[in-house]
Amino acid sequence: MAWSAARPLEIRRVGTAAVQIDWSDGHRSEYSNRDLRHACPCAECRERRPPKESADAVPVHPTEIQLVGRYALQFRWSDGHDTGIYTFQSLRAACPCAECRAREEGKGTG
Amino acid sequence: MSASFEEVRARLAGIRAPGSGKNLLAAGMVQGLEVSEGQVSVRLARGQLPPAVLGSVIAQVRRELASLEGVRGVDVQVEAGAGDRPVSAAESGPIAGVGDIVAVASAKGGVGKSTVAVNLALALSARGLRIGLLDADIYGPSLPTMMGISGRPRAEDGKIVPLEKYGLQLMSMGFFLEDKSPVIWRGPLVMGLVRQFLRDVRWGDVDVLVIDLPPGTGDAALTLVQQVPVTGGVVVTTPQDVALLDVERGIAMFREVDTPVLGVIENMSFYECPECGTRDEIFGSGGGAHIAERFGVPLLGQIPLLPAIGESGDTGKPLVADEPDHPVSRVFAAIGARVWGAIEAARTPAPKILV
Repeated sequence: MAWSAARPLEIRRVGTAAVQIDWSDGHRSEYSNRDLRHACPCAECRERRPPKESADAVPVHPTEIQLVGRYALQFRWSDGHDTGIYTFQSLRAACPCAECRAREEGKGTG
Repeated sequence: MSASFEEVRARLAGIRAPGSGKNLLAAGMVQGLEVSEGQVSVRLARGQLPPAVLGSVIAQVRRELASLEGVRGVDVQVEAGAGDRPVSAAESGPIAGVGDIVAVASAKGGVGKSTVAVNLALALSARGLRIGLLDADIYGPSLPTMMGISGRPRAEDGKIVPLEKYGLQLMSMGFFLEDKSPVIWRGPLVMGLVRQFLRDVRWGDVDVLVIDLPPGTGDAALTLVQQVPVTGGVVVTTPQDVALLDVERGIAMFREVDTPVLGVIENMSFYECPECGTRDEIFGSGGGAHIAERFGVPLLGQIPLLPAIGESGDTGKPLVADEPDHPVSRVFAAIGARVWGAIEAARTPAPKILV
């Protein structure tokens, strides 16, 4: 996972479908709520991660996002779940844009 | 004749539990009690009590039991209560009345971290900044002794008002403990108390809050830097090789939570003979200089080993406040200037959250 010095400048909700982050290096990431919720890093979710398809059953969106220290965000989801702490590093590494994916995959194989 | 279990119990039943109208036993605050040959161990549940009230309960328990005939010693342990949840994002945002936060860490005890924290706070204050100093070492709070200050902070509208001396706003668990006997704090209680010190204290618009972290890079220190928006960390070390390994751990702790390391302060760097002025590098030389290269963080300064530094702490007159023109005070002034510069460089605005 590449380390990035970029920090989020602005985090915003895009309707009920996605969350957008503007980074200090000018990059913009857009995460679907489904993927974010599915990637919840809390111990409980990691323990019994459901197959991705089942996440479609109940669409969720964040009802609240809070800053944790200077390094992470905590999401409260519309399904009531709120124990996942997403570090800036992990969010940036998980940016789903084509450019970032290509870079991450290039790393994996090279 | 040793005191009996029943006698001790009766004494505890005579102490009122704050905020309940019941005695400690009836209120369920006593979680465990052992009496063995005059040695009494009491385990208290903290419940939701704020630190100040808890401190007075502990003091009262000690006083009551110690006055009982046939009691040789009293151990008090405090266990976490419902208010000591491990992490809550609501409490990790900015702190009211506080600008930047500098956390002073060491990877182990005995390197003079608290002395450095106090004198660094004074050096920053001498630059005309408003400074708060939080002694987060609740295991062995040393701030009251080092600043020569005692007394209990008052509460105003549910907030604790810091004590003031030498122009600093001061907070320490030591202000709430009436004697110096060690208290054994367990588990998440530590964080619960520290969080209250951060959130429930009325800091009066300080530019910089200097936090003297608990020693080491263990859970207590790490959790603290995770939960407050620390602008930057400072690692205090001594020049031995072993201590350099400690520096690495200290730096790793801050990096784990994406907190910039402002630099390293090398304490007890050398001994300068007061008679002839010869410098004797008793712990070996150049340790600190390697730090910059090896870890990519600046060496903020080297403080000599001088009796005056320790003595000034023991008598409650920190060197920088008491003798501002002392050569070591000038070293601290230079460190203060570098730390302030590093703070300004490290400051990153909090992201805007539009949800």
